[in-house]
Amino acid sequence: MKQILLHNWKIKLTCLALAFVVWYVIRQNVDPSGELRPFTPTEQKKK
Amino acid sequence: MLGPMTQAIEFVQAHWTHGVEVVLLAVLLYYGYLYFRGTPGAKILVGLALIFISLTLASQLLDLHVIGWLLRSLTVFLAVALVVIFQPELRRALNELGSQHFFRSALQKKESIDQLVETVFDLARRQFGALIAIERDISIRQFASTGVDLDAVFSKELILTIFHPKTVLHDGGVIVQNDRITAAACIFPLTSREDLDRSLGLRHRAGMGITEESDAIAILVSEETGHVSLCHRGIIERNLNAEKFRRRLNQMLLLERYEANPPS
Repeated sequence: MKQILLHNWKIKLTCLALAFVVWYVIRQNVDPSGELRPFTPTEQKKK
Repeated sequence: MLGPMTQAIEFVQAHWTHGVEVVLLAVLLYYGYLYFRGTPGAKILVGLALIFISLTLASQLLDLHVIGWLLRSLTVFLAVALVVIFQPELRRALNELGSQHFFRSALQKKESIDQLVETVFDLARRQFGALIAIERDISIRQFASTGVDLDAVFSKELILTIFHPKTVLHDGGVIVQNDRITAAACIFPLTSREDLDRSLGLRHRAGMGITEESDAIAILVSEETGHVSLCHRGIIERNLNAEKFRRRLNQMLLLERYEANPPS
């Protein structure tokens, strides 16, 4: 198990970090209902 | 003591699905990277991914709404473009997923190793020079295009025929992927190391070269002495006997206990 985890560990760690970034970015753009939040001009007006 | 413990359990209960999502994404990225590395479209993929991730992060952090909207709108076109660019690779990936090689057991691998050992020492006995590169996680198929496509089942007879000094395919290396000989007479990059024994010829330098550029294993048989060598990650182990050769292959291909300091 240790051998499998340590094999190519640098690439695996990079993929994990990248996966977290991708997950975080998608999460920011997804409503709790699971819908992608489209950008509308009214959002900017509210700000 | 109980408070933080309960909080930790509640946190795990509330967010374990997020962890699963991240791990699944990481696994997809890892195998995607290993699969596409070395293909002609890999550089395009890395370039597109870098641009996409940088722009997405910038639009998130700096609140760039127009860039964000453009990225979201272009995602569909990007997905279609990726399918078109990587059509051959995707077809091959789906083909491999459906093939039995993907689900091979350790026992089957062990049988393949036994067959490989027998073949290599038969080559050595006949003093046929040989260079066989066995692909592992990182693709080496870009070198296959430098030789002659075969896509044949691995067999001792075929390897002996390829490396017979009077055949047109005997110069260059053979590429083995998933028990299949995918190409012969391939040209591998030479190692750039200058501290090597002068007795090492071009075949050995090519064997070391390909293992420096990938995680492939290169098996070498000397035409002059009939000695068998093994290269891995740019390290060459020379003059191996059948038992040691088999043990090293088991360690590398079946991930059995690895020797702490392999001889250089």
